[in-house]
Amino acid sequence: MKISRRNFLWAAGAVVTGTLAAKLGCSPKEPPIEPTTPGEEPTVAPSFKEDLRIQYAQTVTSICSYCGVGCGVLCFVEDGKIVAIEGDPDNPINEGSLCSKGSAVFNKYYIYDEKGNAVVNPQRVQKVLYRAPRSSNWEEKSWDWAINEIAKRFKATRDATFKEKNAAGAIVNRTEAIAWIGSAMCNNEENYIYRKFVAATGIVNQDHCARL
Amino acid sequence: MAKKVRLIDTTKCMGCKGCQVACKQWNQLPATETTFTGSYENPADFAPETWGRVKFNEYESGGKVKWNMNFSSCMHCSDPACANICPVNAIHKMDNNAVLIDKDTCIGCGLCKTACPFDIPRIGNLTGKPASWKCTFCFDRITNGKGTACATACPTGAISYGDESAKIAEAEARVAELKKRGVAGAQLYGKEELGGLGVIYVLADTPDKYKLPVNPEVALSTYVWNVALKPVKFLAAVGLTFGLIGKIAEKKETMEKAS
Amino acid sequence: MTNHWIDYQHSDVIMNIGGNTAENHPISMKWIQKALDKGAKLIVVDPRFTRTAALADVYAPIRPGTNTAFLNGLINYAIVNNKYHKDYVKMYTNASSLINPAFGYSDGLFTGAEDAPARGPGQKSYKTDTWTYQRDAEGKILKDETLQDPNCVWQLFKKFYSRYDVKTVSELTGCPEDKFIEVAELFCSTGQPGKAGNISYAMGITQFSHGSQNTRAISILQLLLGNVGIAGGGVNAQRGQINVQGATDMGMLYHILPGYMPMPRDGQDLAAYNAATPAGGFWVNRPKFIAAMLKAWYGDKATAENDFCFDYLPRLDKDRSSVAYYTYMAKGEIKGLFCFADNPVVSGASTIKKRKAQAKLDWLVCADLFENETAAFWKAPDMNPAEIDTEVFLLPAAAPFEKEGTVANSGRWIQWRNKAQEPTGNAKSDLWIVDKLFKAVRELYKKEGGAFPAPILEMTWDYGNEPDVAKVCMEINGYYVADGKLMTGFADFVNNDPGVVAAGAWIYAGFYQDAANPNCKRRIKETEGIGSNLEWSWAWPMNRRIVYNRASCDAAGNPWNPDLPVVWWDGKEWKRHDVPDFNAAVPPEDTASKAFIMTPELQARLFAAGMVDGPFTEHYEPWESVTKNKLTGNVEFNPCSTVWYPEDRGSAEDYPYIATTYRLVEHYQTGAMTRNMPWLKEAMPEMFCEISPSLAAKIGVSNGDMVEVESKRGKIKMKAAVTTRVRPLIINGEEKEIVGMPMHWGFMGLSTGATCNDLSPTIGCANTTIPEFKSFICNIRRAG
Repeated sequence: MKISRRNFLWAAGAVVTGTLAAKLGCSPKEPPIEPTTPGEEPTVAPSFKEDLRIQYAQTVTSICSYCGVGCGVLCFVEDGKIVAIEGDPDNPINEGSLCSKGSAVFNKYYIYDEKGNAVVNPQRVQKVLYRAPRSSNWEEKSWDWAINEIAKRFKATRDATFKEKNAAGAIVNRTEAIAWIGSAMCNNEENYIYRKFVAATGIVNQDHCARL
Repeated sequence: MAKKVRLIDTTKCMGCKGCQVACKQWNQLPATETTFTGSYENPADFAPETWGRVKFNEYESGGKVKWNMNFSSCMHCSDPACANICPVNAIHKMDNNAVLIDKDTCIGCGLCKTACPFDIPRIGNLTGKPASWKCTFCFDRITNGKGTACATACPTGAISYGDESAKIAEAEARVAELKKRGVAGAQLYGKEELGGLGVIYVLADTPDKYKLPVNPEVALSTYVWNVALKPVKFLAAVGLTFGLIGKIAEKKETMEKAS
Repeated sequence: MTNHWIDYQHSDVIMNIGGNTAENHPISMKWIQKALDKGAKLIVVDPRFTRTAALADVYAPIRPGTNTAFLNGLINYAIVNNKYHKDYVKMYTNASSLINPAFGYSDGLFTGAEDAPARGPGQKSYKTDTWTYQRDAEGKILKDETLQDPNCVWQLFKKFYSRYDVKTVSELTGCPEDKFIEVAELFCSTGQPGKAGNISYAMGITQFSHGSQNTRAISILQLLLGNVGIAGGGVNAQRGQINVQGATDMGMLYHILPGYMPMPRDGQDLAAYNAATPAGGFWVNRPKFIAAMLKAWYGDKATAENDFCFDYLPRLDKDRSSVAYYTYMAKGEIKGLFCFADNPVVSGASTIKKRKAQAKLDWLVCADLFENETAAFWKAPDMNPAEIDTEVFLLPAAAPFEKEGTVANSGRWIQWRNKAQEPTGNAKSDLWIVDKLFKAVRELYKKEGGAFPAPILEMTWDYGNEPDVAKVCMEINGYYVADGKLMTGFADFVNNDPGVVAAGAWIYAGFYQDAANPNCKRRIKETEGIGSNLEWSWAWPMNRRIVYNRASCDAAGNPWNPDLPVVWWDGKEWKRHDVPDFNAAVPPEDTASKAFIMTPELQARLFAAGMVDGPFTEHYEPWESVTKNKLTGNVEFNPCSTVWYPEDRGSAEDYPYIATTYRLVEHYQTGAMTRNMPWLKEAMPEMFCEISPSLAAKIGVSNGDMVEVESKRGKIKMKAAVTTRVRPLIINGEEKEIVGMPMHWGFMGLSTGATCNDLSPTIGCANTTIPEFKSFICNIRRAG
């Protein structure tokens, strides 16, 4: 589904389906509205219904990604892409409203270029990046490579530093040489499996932004 | 369709800019380059890509700091000067109160900007040719039973949208309530101004404290131009455009000085 | 938060102190505005006149770092002016409990102070053997219901707080006396039965070396006024991040396991761990919670005979918070760091040190949406990549709406976040990343062996080839080991022997009780009631929206405010607008003295022995201060905080101004996301600091000029905003200026700017180690 280009709005890159004048049933050379002189009642044109640009979008409910209020949002999705995001009027917490950050959340995914086309936010990291020792640059890598290389380094550090007992002979079962920062930006399920990873491998230096 | 208005209750505005960004989000408007100038007010001006923005005004009154914030955008005047002056009749007043600019017809001459008592429209090349840009009252939303993007986003009810009569009644009740609570300066703005605006404000102080013109006026030359050139307006449009811009600008400046 | 956002509409007076709710939790203002529409009043206490203050009925300025003094002053005001809720205090707090006669306080220290050189020169730790209740032979706490015994909590309490008279508080805080009295009169008016006062706060309360004492002081004040457990009341810690509540619930902090169970300490076995179980209240079930967690983690391998694999858990030895471990990193003790969706080199304390510390890592793994400063630390202007050996992996993470799962808001509501589109580019969800990583590590240990492999090899980890969120949810929720039936709530723990149920996080039991229709996905709005919305999502504990709600009624079960009943006894049974936080099967008299089920004494604590730095809340100066502490003798700042870098402490002669840091609505935390979002960059494009016109005149700058701000830790440049919204305060007779700086900038992204934490000190709260970002000292001059 293409969005109609409404020539009084701003939605470039789509098909022109008619001018405003045409919708008003006239051409620009024959003004539909006689401008007024002082004291005269202004003339008005009858409204017409303009398609909403999200008319045919699928609506997905979700929760905003910033503060701890937990506002509901509606993501409007077309062809698998988010095309608009606004507050969820059914969510009793925000009843459809959003602050500037919440209203801007679309920018996390797409930005509008100078022609009004939505393009993927070019600042997003979209590939695995690796920085070698003493390098001044990132190199692009594959996921398989990264997961395996990280696992190797993790194991080497853990094996070299793991302590089963402390100096007094008491059980400690930890590595003190690895640290983990979890996140208030991630879901509960993600934090839960971080916690399991950390516990299983004996990491004790672990924290998240509650303390930062 | 019934006349609609936007009601801005400045006594509930916390300057979160939800409206400002929601406007950009819904209307698919790119960001502009801005700099910090010592105020939280950013963008500091309207632009072809900026149709609504939050104004901040900080001052002292009776030893107390006041920090007024309010959403600023097209007033959708009931008798829009921009539409009256437009040489190509590209600007239309709709029965639901919206003032729309037909971009295909618009030649981007800028007369509307000059005539606007609130200095709202901005000329830009967004679609590849010069045209005038401003708030559309979210015409697509309001004709589909939705509120404007700014009103929908507003957390506190500082911006709301609805039928003119109901909203004016609500605003009048709010002013009365504020007065009852000791806000002596509480007042309505937009109901009488210029014969009624499409945006009604509840203020706690005089309009200038909100960066609003105290007595907005349309330059007489706007009407002169309209009456005198009515029969040949379109034909004369392009030719006369530039000379007149100067005249009106001059006139406006004199009026502002006088006021 | 004891209450929740929607409940704010029921308050008569709302005091926002140490939080800037309009900017940092803007939608809270929807509910505050509804209260104001009904005639409520809003008080804002803040060093700056903020966007919240712009809408407040009363704005009171305060010197950064003196919230305890301000709150203690309110406590004292309520006592001496007889404005507290007497029945409430008597019934629901430990006011009548008798304390060890040896307990005492003088010159900034409570009894039991001992030198603690590990915490820094002159620092103390407490031996708490005098901070105890008097008990009878059976261990029952002795009480004096008349509150007259000189050793009862009430008498000790009154005496301690009497030092915080209006004049003293005004001199310490810089809040003029008349303004303080205006706040006190208004807020203490909620001490009347039937009135509701709400205190909301955020990092302006917690980010101090005495932060926990600030939150304690809020709790005490709210108890005194009878504002806990009622609609419109509460101690409302406004969480700044969408899932900071949930991440904490899941135990993503060094000192806890999921569900706030403590980490075992060095040498502690299960018997010793369980022996430390609290003797009363809901925590008596802790042995069942830990067994359930271990069953969830170690499955069939976890049996009663092997202590449910309790010994697979690592043991905790000392402070391992991020503040602490960055100091260990600086010493080379830490070789590898995983950093998921966080940016400590902007958000942490003394970030110049943090960047340098990261250069000592062998490897760093970051997962984020954007190239943040932590991942790109080697690109910082003050770093030379050619000298940094650290290998860095930056993994592209999926954003919210590109994955699904749950988040817990400030009110503990666990809401479901749906996925709307596939991840951008090659990004993957954190769930996917950690799942793959764990499997790869386990594969290596399977193949090669290594150090103590058993906990890795035997940890349950079966979420499918591509991890399925629902499976993780079911494990967190808990299930019967025998047949996999999902748990529905606490009763499943209480009614079964340890090991019968497996549950990852006991407080979440019930959030995902039915795989087809989990509670956390519910979307039914309340049509009548008090806004609890019990069928919208699910809140822990037990879907309760206002905790301690027994305290909303008198002994006989009549609501203090009959117009806003949370629960009420109708003569035969309990009626409810919320899930009762007490045994609702018994008549009210049986629960009248058991309203606070999370404490062993079943009463709220005006005297709290569990605090590291004292059972009452004393005002300590911040670590760096522009004035002397008149109340605490030779003790200047919190005697129990750890001083990591004594040499980093500046003196007021060199750094005469108070620095404070804060957030703006247009940006989020370190700005790693929002500085890369054009609409937000447009709305707040640059780093700046806010100073008063008098300070600007003194240093010769105008609005928008560049200035340099310097602390003992470093110096940074930014534009100055000269504003009457920041004013000097009279502190102990001298005028003191404040420099305010937002925390959102760093050297990466679309909008770059100075990081204010380059200036902040490495000192933390004695109880939590949260850094002291809200008050340190600085100098400021015109730049260039």
